[in-house]
Amino acid sequence: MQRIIRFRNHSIFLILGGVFVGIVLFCALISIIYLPDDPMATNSMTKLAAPSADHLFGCDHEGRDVLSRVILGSRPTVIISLLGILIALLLGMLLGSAAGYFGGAPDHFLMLISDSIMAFPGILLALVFVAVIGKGLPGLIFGLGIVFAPSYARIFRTGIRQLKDREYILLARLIGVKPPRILFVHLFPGLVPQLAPAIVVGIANMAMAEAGLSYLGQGVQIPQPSLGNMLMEGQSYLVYAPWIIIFPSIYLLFYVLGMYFLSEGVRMKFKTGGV
Amino acid sequence: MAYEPTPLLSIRNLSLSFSDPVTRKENSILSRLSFDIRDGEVFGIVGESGSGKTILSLAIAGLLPETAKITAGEIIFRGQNLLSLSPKARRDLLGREIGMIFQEPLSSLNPLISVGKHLEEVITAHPDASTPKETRGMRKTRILEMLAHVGFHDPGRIYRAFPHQLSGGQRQRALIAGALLLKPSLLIADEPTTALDTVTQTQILDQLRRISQSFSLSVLFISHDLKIMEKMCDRLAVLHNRRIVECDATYEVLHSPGHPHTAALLRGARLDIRGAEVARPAPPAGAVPLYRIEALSAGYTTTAFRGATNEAQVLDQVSLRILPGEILGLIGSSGCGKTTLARVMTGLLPGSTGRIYENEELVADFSLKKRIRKSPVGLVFQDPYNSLNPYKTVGWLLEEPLRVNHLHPQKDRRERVLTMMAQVGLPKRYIDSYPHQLSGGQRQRVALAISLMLSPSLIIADEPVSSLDVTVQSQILQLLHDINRRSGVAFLLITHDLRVIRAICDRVAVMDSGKIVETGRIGDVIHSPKMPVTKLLTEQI
Repeated sequence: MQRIIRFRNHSIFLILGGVFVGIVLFCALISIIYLPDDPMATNSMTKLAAPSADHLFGCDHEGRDVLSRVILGSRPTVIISLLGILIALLLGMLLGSAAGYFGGAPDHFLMLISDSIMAFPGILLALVFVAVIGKGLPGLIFGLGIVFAPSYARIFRTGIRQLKDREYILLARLIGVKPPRILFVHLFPGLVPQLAPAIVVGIANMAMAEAGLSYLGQGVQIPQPSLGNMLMEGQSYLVYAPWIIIFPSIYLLFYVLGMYFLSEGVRMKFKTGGV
Repeated sequence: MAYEPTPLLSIRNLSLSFSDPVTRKENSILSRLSFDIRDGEVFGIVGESGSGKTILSLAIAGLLPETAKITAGEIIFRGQNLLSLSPKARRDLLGREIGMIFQEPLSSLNPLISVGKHLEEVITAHPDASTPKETRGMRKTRILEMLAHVGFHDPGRIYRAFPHQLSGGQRQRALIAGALLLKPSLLIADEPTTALDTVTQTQILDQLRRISQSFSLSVLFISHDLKIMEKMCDRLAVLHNRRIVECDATYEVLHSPGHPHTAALLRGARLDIRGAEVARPAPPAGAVPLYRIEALSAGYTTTAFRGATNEAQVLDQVSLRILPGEILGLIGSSGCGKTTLARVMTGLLPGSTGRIYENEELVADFSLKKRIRKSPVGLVFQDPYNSLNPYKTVGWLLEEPLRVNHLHPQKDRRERVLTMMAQVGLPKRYIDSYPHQLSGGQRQRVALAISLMLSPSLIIADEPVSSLDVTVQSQILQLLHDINRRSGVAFLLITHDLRVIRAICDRVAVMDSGKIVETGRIGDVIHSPKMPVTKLLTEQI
């Protein structure tokens, strides 16, 4: 990316990413108070209707307004990706910090768990967790959270291992700072430059994973719309009514690409900020 | 008119600036420098860190980073202005006519390539038209000869060795050999011995001096250390505040400095401390020592492959007394266990055997937790860049000891911080500064202030000045001395530099391979050293 475009300034990435992500977040929020049409109401008159003034994004095979469904469908994507990353981050922080700070046996044990999670293909494992915890939002959030946790655990672990023998941490121990405070107050600010871009990318990846699960029918359940299950429903009509698939895809693209831009911007900002 | 030989290299009105990549602001680094280097002389440039010495050497070699720009002036080498040459022609000149050695020998060598390969590459990268059919064997002979020249007794072994198998001094010598292989007429040596210990330093410098004479090689020698300059250089230029403030024969510069900054550097090199001559009356013979260490042994255990453990004994039956309110110097060459002793005494390194008495009371537990509650030991590290958390402000860092130990009500803490800052000579305005906005000396003041916040009875200072400039060194030592006299806190000053010890210590302990070999009053140890190690150390000054 950098080699092709070569922006010297990080702000262009932050602005582009902010706009893309902003559009999706705005829709997810607005869906609470306003939808152009009832996203669930089937209508035999408008089956597979092309985009028009009445239905900007056209209608699907049940005659439901695609625009309303896309707006409503972006809600689970946003909720799952944001809450899922929070779970992943919390789990990763606990495991990674403990492993990195104490080292030795706890480190071996925790990293064994983390490595075994990483050894499975992410989607497959998420399917298992969803099957155990149950379909629907909580299952998705926890399932994806667990699957994504090891990569954050690794960042915490390596970061802390690098920093904990720094002299300023030794000095902090010497003046009587207790381990939890050393971790949270003295060490964590040092991890932000590595962590921040990883979190933003994680949100994008989680959104894609959610779409993938919903596409496979294991995520958000029909008739509740989500970007993923709209793709699944629309694929049989791809030739006659491509708008059923195109608009949710563009939406997902906005969110994911926006997050990638943001993460690149954040990464460059920390690089040039140079603490 | 006196005979003036044509200079080998002459710098004319050279100005150089950095442009900030974000703000695009020009930042002047060097301004209108002019000097000549004659054939076969060793020309020294001395200056404090950040004065632009290294950038100057890179400008001559044509290795400037992208952000640096030469704004005016000429660099004339053998009558040719280097700045008007094409990049390719300059590259060709570098290596063939201008050799270069750097401060850190390890980072100049690829760990996966043997020394011989490194040196051979020097030759193959500069194909010589006069000897087009040089075979590998011939090249090897040339390299082995050169290795012998720079003082290796077994060039064959060095030829096959990889960088990690050599000591720092050997690596630097191998690099010198590489720089000399193509018989350049100018060698740029940028702090070539700063990363080496004193004994090796002397060897390398002698070798350089000898080589310069036998090859009639001009050397541009860059250093911050006047002591080295005095030994090495024929002429000396002092770089200060972007300009050359003084340039003359070394003897003249050092014995009748014509610029106040040169005088300041000289004073710094002597480490004069005001009031240090006034020796404190010796404590009565029966005084209770603040700390008494008996038969302390410690080591590191490293777990190797498959749980095999490797034990390295670092401290071997160390016994030491620290009297209340004294400054005890601990001197020894690098790797003798000084730092380990500091870590054990502060409780940062568990797993040691022996006894530590504090006010004649046995400290039963070496662990950190109990130490802090009873009586904290302050610690000041060598590198002020690593010892302060880069993400916190000075005020926050100074307040932290009070905060975590619940000392003083919250509203009084800032007041305490300001008082402490005044005590260590930090202006109030730095309270909201981050460590990277401070100079090395200021950071060291902050580090000292952090230790003082808990009013310890002992502060261990581990090489507190060895990474600072000479003028700053004496300021920090002065501060340690003043704090000791004012508040009566005892110092254990760890160093490898006898000048530091002589400047402020009352007593000195000499350490060698994990043992204390000699202790005594500073004058006695310097003037009549008992042990051979001590003799070696005293010869440095």
